[in-house]
Amino acid sequence: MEEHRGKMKNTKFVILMLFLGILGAKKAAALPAFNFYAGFANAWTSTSTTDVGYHVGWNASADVNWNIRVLLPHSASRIRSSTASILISPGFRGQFLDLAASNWLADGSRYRAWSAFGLGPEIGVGLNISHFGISRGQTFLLSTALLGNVAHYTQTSLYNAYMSWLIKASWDLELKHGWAVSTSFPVEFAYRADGRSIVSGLGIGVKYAF
Amino acid sequence: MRSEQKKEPRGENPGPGHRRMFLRAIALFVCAAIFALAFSGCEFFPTNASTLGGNKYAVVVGINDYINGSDLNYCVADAESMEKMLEDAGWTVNLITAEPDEAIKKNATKSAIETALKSVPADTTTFLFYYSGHGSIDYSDDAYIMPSDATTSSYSSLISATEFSGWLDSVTATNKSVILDSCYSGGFVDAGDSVDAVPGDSAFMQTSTAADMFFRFGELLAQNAAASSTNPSTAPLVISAAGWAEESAEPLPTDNPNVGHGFFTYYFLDAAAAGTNGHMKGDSDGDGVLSCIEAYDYAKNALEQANYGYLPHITGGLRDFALIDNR
Repeated sequence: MEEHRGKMKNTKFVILMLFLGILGAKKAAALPAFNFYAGFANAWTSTSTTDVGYHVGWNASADVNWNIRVLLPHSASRIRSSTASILISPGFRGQFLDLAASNWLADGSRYRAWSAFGLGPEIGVGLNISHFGISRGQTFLLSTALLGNVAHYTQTSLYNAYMSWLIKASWDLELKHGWAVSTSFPVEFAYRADGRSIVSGLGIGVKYAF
Repeated sequence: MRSEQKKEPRGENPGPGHRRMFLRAIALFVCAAIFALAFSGCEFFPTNASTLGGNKYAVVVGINDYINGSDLNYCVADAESMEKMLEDAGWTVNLITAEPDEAIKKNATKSAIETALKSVPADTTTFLFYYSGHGSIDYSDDAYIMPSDATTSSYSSLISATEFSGWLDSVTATNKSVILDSCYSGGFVDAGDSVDAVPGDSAFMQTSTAADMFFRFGELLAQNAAASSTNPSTAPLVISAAGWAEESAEPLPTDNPNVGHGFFTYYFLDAAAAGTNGHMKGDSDGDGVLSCIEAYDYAKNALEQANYGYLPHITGGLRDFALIDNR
């Protein structure tokens, strides 16, 4: 019972802090943004009865987000002359993965190569700051997405579909006129029939924010 | 005195230069960590096993001579060439053939094939069954392979996909693959977690494109969900020469005497032959190992180009098996 009350107190505290933060915000804005990434990908596949196999490949993705920006009050920023805002970023993600067959396992088997096109809703929460360390604005964003994927076993005529969860950390460095260079580190958990794949990678790309 | 004024007191808010150096140090550390992980050969990034261990055992069946039916010309040649290919790659092979005019060699009866499957050594890691001969289909579209003592009047004298699957269950090997060069052999192929874009009667039906499959997302997802309980990744990997409603073929001796095999087996065997670059022709990733999917793909592409009116099929699932390790 005591533990339960403690949890309630924590939840109330977080809600109160968020509410106070928004009340104290200097300005709020919501504008669309587009991200395009490409990079290498790694994947680890296994089933409940077979060893883990490792794939290499590449990925490309596009995100369309609606950036809701809550500019924090000047006093909230502890760094002199810097500004900070919280970003809430709902949107959609589309991605393409192409992974080679895995390494050969000791029992003479390996996991098949596959490619997949995934699409689904995405939401991110992040922090945009300027004049911190470098003169250009930066955004750190943590996103999650639920993707429906249509996949193809390479070198066969077989197609299948699976759902996956994606968690992505990204860092944007603002350039000029709304453009930014962006780096993302996605980790995806794919639920593939009687097996599982964890796909990670490093994407480098561009972002345009209105 | 001036220099003392410029000096920042320690422990207070560092200037932009310090922060920049700090950020650079973090970036360098992250990059170094990624490269160290990538190139250290740690367990996160495992490489190919140096040897593909375990015992490899194959039952290879070729039937030219049918006691009660029409004979074929090249099925024994198919089986013997398959035996040689596998033995050269370190497999132990139990060859079963039925040839014309040699009653003593009419060994490929239904009971002989069943016995061979039920006698696979218990310490076998990788098992392969190869069959070249007649196939059949009944009015319910159930597929069969025909042993040498099959009678056309009774389907019970044939080997059905269900019956064969039961025999295969008695094989304790971890990796099982089945290669069938016979008519209607696609009836032995279960797409498992997938949907095959090439229909089993491709002479009449169109092959689906990737875009078609995108619009069948719901059906594909349901197939994936259903497959989570049927374990297609650990089920036998089956490759058929033809679809469930297609006839596979061998050349007439007068037409093309140089082939000397059923068309599918001819190209399947050719996948293991050395190409101009020294690699096996079917070894598309050049890793020195010919896998079942690579050999299937090589044969499928060749048959597609030759346009014989039938195409090979393969089961779904996440895994693939090594046929020949030439490293």
